[in-house]
Amino acid sequence: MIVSVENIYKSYGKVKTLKGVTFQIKEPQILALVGPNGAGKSTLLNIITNITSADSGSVTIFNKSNKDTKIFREISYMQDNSVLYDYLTGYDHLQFIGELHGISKKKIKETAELIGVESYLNNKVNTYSLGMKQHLLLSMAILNEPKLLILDEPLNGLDPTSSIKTRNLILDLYNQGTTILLSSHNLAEIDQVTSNVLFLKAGKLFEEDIGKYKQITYKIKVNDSTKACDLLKNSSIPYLFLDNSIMINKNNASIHELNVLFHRNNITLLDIEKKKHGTEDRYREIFGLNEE
Amino acid sequence: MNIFKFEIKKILRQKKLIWLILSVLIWVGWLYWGNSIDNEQKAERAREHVDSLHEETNHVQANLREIENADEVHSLQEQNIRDMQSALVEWKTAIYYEEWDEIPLHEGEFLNNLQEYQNNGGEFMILQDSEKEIALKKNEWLVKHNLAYEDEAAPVSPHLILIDSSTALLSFLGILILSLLFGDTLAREKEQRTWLLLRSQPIAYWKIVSSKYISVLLLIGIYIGSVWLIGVGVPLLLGPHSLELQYPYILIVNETIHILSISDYFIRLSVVFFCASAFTFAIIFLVSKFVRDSFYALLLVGFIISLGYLLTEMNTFFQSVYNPFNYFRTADTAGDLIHNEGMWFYLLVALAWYALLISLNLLIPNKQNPFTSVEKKPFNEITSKYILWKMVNFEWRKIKRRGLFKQCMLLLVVFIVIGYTYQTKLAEDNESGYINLLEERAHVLENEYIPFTEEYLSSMEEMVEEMPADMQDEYRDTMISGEEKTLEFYNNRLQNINRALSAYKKEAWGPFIEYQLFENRYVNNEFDTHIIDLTLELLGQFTVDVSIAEKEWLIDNDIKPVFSGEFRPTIYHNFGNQITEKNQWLEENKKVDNSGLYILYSYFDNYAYAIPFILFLFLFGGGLADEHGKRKTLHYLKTQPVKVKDIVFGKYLTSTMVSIMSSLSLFIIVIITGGVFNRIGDWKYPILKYDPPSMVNNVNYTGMEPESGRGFHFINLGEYLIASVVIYTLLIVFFLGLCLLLSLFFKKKLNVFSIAIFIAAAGYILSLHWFGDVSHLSPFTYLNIPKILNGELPTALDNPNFHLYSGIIPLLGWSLLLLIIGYVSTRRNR
Repeated sequence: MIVSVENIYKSYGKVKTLKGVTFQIKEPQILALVGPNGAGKSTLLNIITNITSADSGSVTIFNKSNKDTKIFREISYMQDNSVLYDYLTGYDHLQFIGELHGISKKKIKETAELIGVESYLNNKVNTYSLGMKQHLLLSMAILNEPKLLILDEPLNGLDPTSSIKTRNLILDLYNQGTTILLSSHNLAEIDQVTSNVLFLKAGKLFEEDIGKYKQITYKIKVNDSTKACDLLKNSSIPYLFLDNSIMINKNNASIHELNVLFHRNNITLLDIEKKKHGTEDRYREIFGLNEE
Repeated sequence: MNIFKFEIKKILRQKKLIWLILSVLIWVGWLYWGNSIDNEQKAERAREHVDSLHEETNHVQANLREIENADEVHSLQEQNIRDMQSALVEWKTAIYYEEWDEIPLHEGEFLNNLQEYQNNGGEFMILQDSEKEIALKKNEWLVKHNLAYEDEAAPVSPHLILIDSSTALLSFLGILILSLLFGDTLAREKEQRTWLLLRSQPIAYWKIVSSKYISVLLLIGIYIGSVWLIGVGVPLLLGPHSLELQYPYILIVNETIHILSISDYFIRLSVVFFCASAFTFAIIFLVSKFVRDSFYALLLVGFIISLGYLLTEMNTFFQSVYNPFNYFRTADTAGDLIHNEGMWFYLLVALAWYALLISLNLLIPNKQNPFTSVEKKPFNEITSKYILWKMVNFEWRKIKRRGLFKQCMLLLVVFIVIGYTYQTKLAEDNESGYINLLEERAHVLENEYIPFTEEYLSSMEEMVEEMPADMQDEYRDTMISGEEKTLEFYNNRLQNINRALSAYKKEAWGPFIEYQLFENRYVNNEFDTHIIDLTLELLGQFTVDVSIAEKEWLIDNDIKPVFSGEFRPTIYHNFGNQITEKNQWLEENKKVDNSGLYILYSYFDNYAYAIPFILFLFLFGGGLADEHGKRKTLHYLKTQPVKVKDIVFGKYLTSTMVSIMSSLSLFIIVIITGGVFNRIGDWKYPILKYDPPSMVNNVNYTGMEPESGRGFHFINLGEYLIASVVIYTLLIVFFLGLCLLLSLFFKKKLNVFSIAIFIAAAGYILSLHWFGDVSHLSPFTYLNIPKILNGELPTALDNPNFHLYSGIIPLLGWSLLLLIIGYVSTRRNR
């Protein structure tokens, strides 16, 4: 077992942030944690890494308690840039981690070059832009070649080139056997790297394989949605009614078949759109957001 | 207007305002509590004063009665004395029955009769000149305003508590409190980038800056208001006292005595304080424009103000209303504001300076500090396998990178150099003043005393010749031989002075000190001079014996004396109410030297060690609190294979090592500075150490006992300094441990620091007042390094368990205890 999170409860005052969150990571994978602002994503990640303690519940990492500091030899946690020392240089941060893990200067240099931070590594962090700080944090996270990599908003503040590079790096690390748990607001980017998604809503966790949603879907608007949905049900055609539109997987019916069906039953097709469905759509579903 | 309201809201929403008012409350409460205890001896003190007057009147009366063939003047004087005695009896009766409102009337009667007595040619030794004038004016005021007698030594009435507390709170202390709490307002906004929020709003830059300045003025007003309210409120609430705003306050300005009401004085003090605070904040805001770190900005401003203050103190030319640094001489400046017109002009000038500094702030463009280089050289790698050592190194690197430490050390070194310059001037003035005094003495002896005495003797001889033969011998034995002794003494004295002056030029200190010893022995009545000199009564046998023993020590060890004066001030003077004479004598005998070792001694003796102590505590005492706040660097550390105890102890080891090494470096710099510009100094210079009564009364006591129960001995300056440095070092170890422990429970550095200061103050007071017998075991007692080492505190507590290195075990023991508690706490809560 890589990570086991059992029944985590956490409150801040009267606000119950996490209510019995439970999940496991049994094999190396990329797992995304998604939720609205204030849902408790960072809180959950902080609890997993024992930065914050839960009110109740337990966490084990590689079958050891998360309170054992030795686990940090095998895991890394990339947090937000408030954890950086403004007055230290980027190299100072990497050097500190390197010395703790017995990593050579050469390796530090290689990691810096891989991420692309070497040109400003000897400058103080308070001169860095947001993107540069993110790069530094990523370098610090992968320096010790962890088996479990936890990333909190890794793409925050990155330009498109850096986003692509970071995404590719995540995939490379996964291919090398690293388990990655990442939280992100960039749902499109999540779709690029994984289909395993944890949705955090109202303190509860929904684990989803978005894979089944990542297909081409027709988004159809008709004049009588109720009649159309009944028709589809009677015809055993799976559909999803979302935002006043009917979503049908292309594998379940072709445009021609749908056209014929509706026409026969005096239903007028107002609009049809071919859409690649993904995490965002599932997110909308779960969190009840209407498409504008 | 909106931006101004926003600034006010920010101030009011901050907990710092509560801290500000709380600090005033604690100060006033502590003052009131201490005075309430001491006030129980009010009647006793009042009686002692009357008794001393009574004793003198009896003495004068006895002298008057001895006069044969008394004339009319003497009769008048006797009558005056009887009237004075009668008034004293009434006075004492009023004290006995606690009729405090009657006392000014009886005192007035006494003083009026005294004035008459002196007008009739009488002499009254213990109430003369300025002291009598003050007593008369004050009494007149009390009677005129129908005010009762109050014990000003331990006052508990609202008006006196107000003045006592505001003397401290509306001075440097108050400015320090305000600066520490609110001085970082602008710098912190820039550090935390909330400044950008303001700059991105449709508000003119000058409005943003001005609103900050104006809100600070309001803050100062709130502070002054709270000093007033709490100063008056606490005694009114806690005691059966009434507020008398007309109670007199005595001010001596240019040797002229002024009396004003307490409320008037408080207003003047408030105005000066307001001016000083406003100017301080104006400088802070201006400096914050260029200096990023808020703490360093405060330090730099402290340096600028101290420099300005010193220059103003040293040079009367700068003591003018146009010099803003003059405001920091709050008590003196408040004295200058005797007339109302002066007060408003001061305010106007202060506001003009304020406006000027605001304008500078607005006009000078924001630029990056050109002296800050962007690239930093990486540190050398650490290959140790010990996590604790890695953490120590990491902490050291943080200290170096922050740059604050280097800047602070630089400032401290500059402080030392400036302080040395000031000390050198004082020492030189002292020395030249004393030599001039000797020359003047010699001149007076040679040209006045000796010729006059010789002439007098000669005339007496002539008179004797004309007397009947049987009376001649008797007259010669009683009068002439006495005058001959006087003449012999004068000649002797003149010879000694000349020898001393000659030795001074050759820097032959033996003969020079022998002259001083001569003067000490004269006061000790070791010479038969036929001169009535009451100096011994004033100084006390203890002081005289100490002075003699000191000179003998200096001669035996061939040590250069420290100027000036022939006597060594001690805590056992007998000046009584003769404040003016006492101050004059203390001034004449004030010891100042600029040799390296002596400067370091002065540094400890005048509590200057508190500056680096508090500074290092503030720089390095944040502990885990440094890792909290807007920067969540503790989260970064917690996600490394490092235990919390390694983080905590890494911080502790680094902070103590850096503080100790830096302090030692400063001490060495002090000595070297003295050594370079003057000389290193005398290791064996004698430092007076008082011995507690229980030690003195012990049969095995080996020190000197000039008076019953009061003993002393000398220790070498070198040993004193070593002991001072050892105790100072252990205090750093203890207090950094305390701060570190507190940081495990309090997330904000200011809270850690404030609570540590509070514990230190409370611990010190409790150690002295409640645990006197075991105070040598309390770490807080040793905060007062000079009074421990010179024996004043052990003597006051009559605790013989203090010795030169008695602080080592309790300080180390308590430090270890703190570390154990810290270790257990970190293990329990990762």
